[in-house]
Amino acid sequence: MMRLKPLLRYKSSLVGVGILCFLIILSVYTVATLPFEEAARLWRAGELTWLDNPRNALPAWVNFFSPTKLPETLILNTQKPGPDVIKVSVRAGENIKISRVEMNFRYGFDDFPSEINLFFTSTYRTSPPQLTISWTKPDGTQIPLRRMTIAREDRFYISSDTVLSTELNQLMENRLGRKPAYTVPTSTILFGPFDETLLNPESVKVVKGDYRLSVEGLLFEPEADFDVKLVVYGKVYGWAGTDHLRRDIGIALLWGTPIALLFGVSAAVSIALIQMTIGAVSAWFRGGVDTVMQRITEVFLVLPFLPVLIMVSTLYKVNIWVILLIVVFLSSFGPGVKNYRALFLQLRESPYIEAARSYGAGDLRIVVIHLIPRVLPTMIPSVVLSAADFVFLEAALAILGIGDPITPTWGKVIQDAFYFGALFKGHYYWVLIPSALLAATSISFALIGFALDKIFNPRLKEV
Amino acid sequence: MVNSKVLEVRNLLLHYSTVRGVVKAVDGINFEVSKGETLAIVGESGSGKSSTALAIMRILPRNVAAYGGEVWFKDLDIMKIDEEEFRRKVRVEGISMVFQGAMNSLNPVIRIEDQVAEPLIVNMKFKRDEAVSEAHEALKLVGLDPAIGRRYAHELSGGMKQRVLIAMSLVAKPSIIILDEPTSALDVITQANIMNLLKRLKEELGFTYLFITHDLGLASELADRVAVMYAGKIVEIGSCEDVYIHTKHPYTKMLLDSVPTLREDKHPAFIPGAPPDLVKPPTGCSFHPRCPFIVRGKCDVETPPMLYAGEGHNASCWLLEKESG
Repeated sequence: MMRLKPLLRYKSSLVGVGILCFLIILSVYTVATLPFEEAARLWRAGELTWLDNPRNALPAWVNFFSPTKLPETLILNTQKPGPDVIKVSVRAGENIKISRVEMNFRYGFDDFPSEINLFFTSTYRTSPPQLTISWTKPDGTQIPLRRMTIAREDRFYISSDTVLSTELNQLMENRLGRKPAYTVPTSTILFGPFDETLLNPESVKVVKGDYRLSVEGLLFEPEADFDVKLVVYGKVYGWAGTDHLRRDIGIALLWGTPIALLFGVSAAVSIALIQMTIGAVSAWFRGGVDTVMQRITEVFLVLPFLPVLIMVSTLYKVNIWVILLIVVFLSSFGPGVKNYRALFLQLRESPYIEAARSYGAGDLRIVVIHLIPRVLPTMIPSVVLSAADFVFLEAALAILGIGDPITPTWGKVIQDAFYFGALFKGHYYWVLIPSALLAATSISFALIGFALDKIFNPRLKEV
Repeated sequence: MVNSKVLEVRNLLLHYSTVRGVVKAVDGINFEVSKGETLAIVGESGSGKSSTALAIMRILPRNVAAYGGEVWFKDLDIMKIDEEEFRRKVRVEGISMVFQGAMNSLNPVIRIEDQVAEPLIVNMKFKRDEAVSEAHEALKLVGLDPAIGRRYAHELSGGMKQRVLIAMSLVAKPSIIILDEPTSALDVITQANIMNLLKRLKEELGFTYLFITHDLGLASELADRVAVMYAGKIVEIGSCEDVYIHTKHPYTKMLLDSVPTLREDKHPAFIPGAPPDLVKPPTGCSFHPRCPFIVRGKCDVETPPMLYAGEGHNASCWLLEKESG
C-alpha cells in the first residue's frame, strides 16, 4: 500500500533512506547476535570482566588514517600454547620441578603499549611456586624483572610497579651514565632503545622486533603447576574504543541503535496518534467534550516538560520504557492537539462530511473513515521529523543523568564521557562516535521527513 | 398514475440564529411529492431552497433557532421519530440526497468505489465486496466505467464527480432523491449531460426527485410540478404548465420575464429592488416592496395565504382573492 518509489526520487531522501536502512540492519544484527541480557550484564560487569582490554583505547580504525601505527593488544597465555608460547617442565628431584615458560612475540607498532600486565594462576597444596621473570629485547639484552612467590590467583602489574620502575631507571642510569630529566616509564624502558633518545620523552622510539618474556618456575610439589598470561595492552580496540572501565564502547553503541530507533519511532507515532485522536474527538463533538479536552490541553501546555520528567526520574529509578510512557503521557495533550483540532474543525464542515451524515454514517465512522485519513498526509512527515526529536530527547535525558540505569544507550556513553572528562583528556572518539550516530539518525529522519512533506503536501512547495 | 404520496411537507420551519438575529430561512412551507413525480423547487439564492432540503434530511447546522412542522414520508411523520429510527427508516432506502458543489462533495482520500459503497456498508450491513459490486452497478447506471471505481476524486472531471454523487445517492435504492442544485458549478455541456442522465433514470427506472435549482429552464426540463420559493416561503406551486404559462404570482411572472430568450425579440426585464433581509422580512406579503401590483393597506399588512388558482395550482397573492372575489 505504501509506495516508496517517490521517496527514492529525491536524492536527499535517498541518503536518508540509506542511513536509516544501515541503522536498521545494525539493529537487527545487534539483536540477533548479542542478547540484551548479555549486553546489559557486560555493560555493568565491572573491571574484572574487562581486564584484558586497554583503558581508554581509541577505535582500531584510526590506524588506517595515521602513518604511525598505534599498538593493538597482545595476549599470550600458557593455557593456549602455540609456537609463540612454550612451556617445558623438568623434574629436578623428588619433589622439585622446574617449569620454564617462554613467550615470544613480535612488536611492530610505532607507539609504546599503554600497560603491561602478567596474570598467574597456580595449583599447589602448601608451598607456592617461586618464579623468576625476565625480559629479553630484540638485541638480546636481558632485563631481570622480578623474583616472586605467587598465590593461587596472582598478578604482576609490570608497567605500574613502582619498585620495578625505580630499579629499571637505576639500571638505565648506569648504562647511560646520565640521569634523564623525567622518570622513564617502565614500558618505554622495556620497548625502547638504551641510548641517548631515552633522555627526552619526545624523541624516544619503539624498537621493533621480537621480544621474549621468560618465566622460570620452581615448584616444590609434584602436582603443583602454574599458568601465565601476558597482556601487552595496546592503544586501539574494537570499532569504537574502550572507556575508563576498559569496557568496549561498541557494545553500548550497538545496543543503543535499536533502542534509539524504537524509542524515537514509538514515541513519535504514539504521540501523534493520540494527539490526532484527541483533536478529532474534540473537533467533531464540540460542546462540553471540546471544552474539557481543550482545558486539559492548556493545563498540559503550561506544565514544564523537562522538570516534571526530572522529578519523576529522581524519585523513582525508572527504566527506559517507563520514561517512554511518561514522555507519551506528558505529550498526549500537547500543542499537536491544537493543530489537529484546527484542521478537523475545518474538515468537519466539508461537503463530503455532510453527505456522510445524510446517508447515516455514525460519529465513530465519520471520525475514523472520513476525518482521520484526511489528515494523515500532513501527519506522516511531521511524525518522521519528530522521531528524531525523541531520539535526541532520550540522549539528552541520559546526559542529564536521568536515563535508564541498566540499558546501554548512546546517551549514557556520552554521559560517561562527559562525567569522566573525555574532552578534557582528549578522548574525542568517546564523544564523537555516539554523537555521530545521533546526528546520523536525526539527519536520516529529517531528510526522509522533508521528502515525505514534498510528496504528501505538494502545495507547500508553492508557498 | 395513482397519486400515492411519497413525501408530504406541512408547515415546515427552519430558523437560524445569527449574531444579527433570527434568520427565517424556511418559514412554514407546504408541498407534496407523489411517486414517480418530480417536484422542482426554484428560487433565487437565499430563498431557503437548500435549507428545505437540509430540514427534510435533518442535517442541521449548529445554530438552529427553530425547527418544526411535519414531514410525512410515506405513512410516517419523520419529524417525530428519534435519530436512530430516522437513520433506519429514512436514510436507509428512504430519502437520499445529491449535494451541490460536486467538486468538494467527495472525500479526496477514499477510492470512488468505496465511497459509493459507503451508504450500503453503513446502513445495510453489506459486506465490503458485495457493496463494491453494487457500487459498480450504480456507476454503470450513471454512465460511468466501473473501472474508475479504483480512482480518487481528484482524477475525475467535474461531470464525472457529479455522476459519482448521483450513483452514491441511488446505490441504496431510495424512494426519493433530493437533488440540491446538482448542476451548479458545471459547464453548460456537462450540465446538459447530467440533466439527460437524470431524465433517463427517471423515465427508465421511475425515480422520484425533489429537484432544487435556481434555473427555471432546468426545472421545466425535468419537473412535473414546480414550487417557486421566495424569502423562505412558497409563493406559487403547480404543474409546469400552470406555473410557466398560466402564471399567477407577480414574482413568478417577473422571474420568467427576466430570463433572456433566444428567439423572441424581447429584452429581459429585471425585478427592481433586492431580495428581502430574512432577519427582518417585510410585513405582509414579503414580495410587496418590489411588487408593481401592490395594494396599499392590504399587501403590506397581511400575509396572503395559499389561494386557489386552478386545479392543483396555488399561489399566495392577494390579487387572486380580488380575481375570484
